[in-house]
Amino acid sequence: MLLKLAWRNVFRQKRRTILTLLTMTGGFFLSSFSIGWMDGSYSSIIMFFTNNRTGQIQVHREGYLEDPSIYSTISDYQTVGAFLDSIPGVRGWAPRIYSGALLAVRPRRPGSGNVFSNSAAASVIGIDPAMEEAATNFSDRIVSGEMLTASAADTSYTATGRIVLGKELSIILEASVGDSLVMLTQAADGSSADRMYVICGIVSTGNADIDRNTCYITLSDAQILFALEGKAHEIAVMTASLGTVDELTLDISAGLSGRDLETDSWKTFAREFYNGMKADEDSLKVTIFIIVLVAAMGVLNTILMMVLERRREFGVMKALGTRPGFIIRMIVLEANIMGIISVIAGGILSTAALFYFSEHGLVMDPPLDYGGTVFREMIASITPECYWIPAICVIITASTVSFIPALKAAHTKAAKTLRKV
Amino acid sequence: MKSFLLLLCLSIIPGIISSGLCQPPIDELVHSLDQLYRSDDSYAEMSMHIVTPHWERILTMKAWSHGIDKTFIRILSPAREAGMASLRIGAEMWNYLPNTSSTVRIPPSMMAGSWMGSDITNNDIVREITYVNDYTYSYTTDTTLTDAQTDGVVYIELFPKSSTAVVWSSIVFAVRIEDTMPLWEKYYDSHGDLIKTVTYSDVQEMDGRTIPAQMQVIPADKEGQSTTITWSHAEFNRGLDSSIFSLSNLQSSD
Repeated sequence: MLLKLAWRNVFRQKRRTILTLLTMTGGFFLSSFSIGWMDGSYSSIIMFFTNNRTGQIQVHREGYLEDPSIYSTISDYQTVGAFLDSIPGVRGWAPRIYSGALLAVRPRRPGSGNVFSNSAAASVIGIDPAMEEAATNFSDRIVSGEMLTASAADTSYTATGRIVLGKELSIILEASVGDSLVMLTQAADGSSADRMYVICGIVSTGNADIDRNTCYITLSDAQILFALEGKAHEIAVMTASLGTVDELTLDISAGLSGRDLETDSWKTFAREFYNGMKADEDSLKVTIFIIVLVAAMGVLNTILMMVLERRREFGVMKALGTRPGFIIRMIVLEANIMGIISVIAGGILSTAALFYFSEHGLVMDPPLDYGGTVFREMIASITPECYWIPAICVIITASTVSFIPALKAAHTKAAKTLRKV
Repeated sequence: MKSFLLLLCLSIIPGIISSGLCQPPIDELVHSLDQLYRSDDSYAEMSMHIVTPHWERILTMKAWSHGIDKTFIRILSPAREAGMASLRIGAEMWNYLPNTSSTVRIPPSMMAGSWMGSDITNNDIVREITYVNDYTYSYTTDTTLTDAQTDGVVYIELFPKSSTAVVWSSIVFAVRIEDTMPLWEKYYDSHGDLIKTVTYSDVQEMDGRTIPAQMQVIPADKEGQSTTITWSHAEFNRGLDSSIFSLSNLQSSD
């Protein structure tokens, strides 16, 4: 009886209902879309950052992150890798060796002989070309020359003698593809090691700070150079989506327990980046809260109008002997019916909009530079938060804001109200 | 007034005793520290024993020096590094790498880096600094800086002048008065924390000069790590061919 009455009331005054519905749907849509957009743009920045370089999860020897020493190695990285392959949700993994070296190139002027006077200190990263390619699409960032080559199953430790330089580093050294380069470093056994390499490619990762002091050789070359046969310093793990990272980190950590290894998510090993993201996200949350608040005010306004307009009607109901509780329940129910309708309508609208922007994205012009990494495209994402947060907001607002006018209506003095009209 | 004079006397007398009777003139002492291993030119054969928690190795080498601005060092063993050489002229430093038969210039950014994996930095080899010219110094009796032993030993605290580019902010030297031989040298940073300790021992006469034949460098922040240099032979002021300090000599394999 109550539901029937409320339902009929909703459709009795079509213009008024449509106005209320529009406000509520608009509020839902705005909140839902901004949440999806925020979530999507942050996810895409994080995925871009981590996919490009670090991976979402990393495995190291215990303590390596605090004190990255050449001696803190993962001694059986192949076994660890095989275990990672067995975990669903792991898209790929890449072993790496990190150390430092002195790089030197012969100047171009004639008569330089064997004097390599263009020199610079650099970080040397040993990568498995095939696995790195599968995990981070390394070759996409090669700007001249070509990628390092070696097979994924290369355990014969044959040196390729090829090196890829960061773009800015190649400028500092005045070197280009095809030039010879001498590397002088200290191996893990304490000996001084020097080797000659041929520059096969120049890479631009989008982060000039990194490209200024980083060069890449194959994992086998690095294992020979640094006397680290069969070892790696880091395994970068790529996951299929950002949402599963925390769970996967725990899974991997549990699977590798007892090996003196530590497993961390990007939130730990890229802490600065994470904190920056989090600070930005928090400030955007304030914006979203304001959007939701504005939408709620709209709902309050229309419902208040609706109740005030119908004072005579409530007066008649009271005169006919309707109890105040019944009127309150009826008004709140009406507001909720409209709330549910607008949640459904707003849901359809925002899904359509979010879907479009998750497929097409918004090209950033000029590109956004975040901590040295350049982002060119923002996309939206569709998550449960896009629905349940605005839905709860709309329903709760509808219930609470309708309650006060309902209370007022319920206590209308029948005689007084009717006399006025 | 009387008591003031008495106080004055009491405060001056120990000063006169300590500076006039026990301590040698400080300028001379600091100059002797500067000249410890230096001469117009020198030739030395030495070994360098490097100990780290991960590995331990001994390198043998020959070293030539001329004045304070030219040094040439050739590694003799182990086989993997034999033939490697370092030449330094002024602030420039070059390494010869026989493996790739190349000569590499050490960039300024790596001058603070380790030389041959030891606790001695490239800067230590290149250093043209003298204590007399580039530091201010005074005797110290601060017991937080000195050993308990004060008999026959003086302690000198040196502070780099503002124009002296070094990473430490003070050095404390312990010197034996009897033969002006240093016992140890401690380097401190601006917080007063120890950076490294250099100890001198095995005083010997070589080619008419008295030098500690052993010098050990112990970095304070790296546990279980040290570098010990032992002189087995040294010649001073015998005259050196200036062609020793050249890029072409660097690349010859003698």
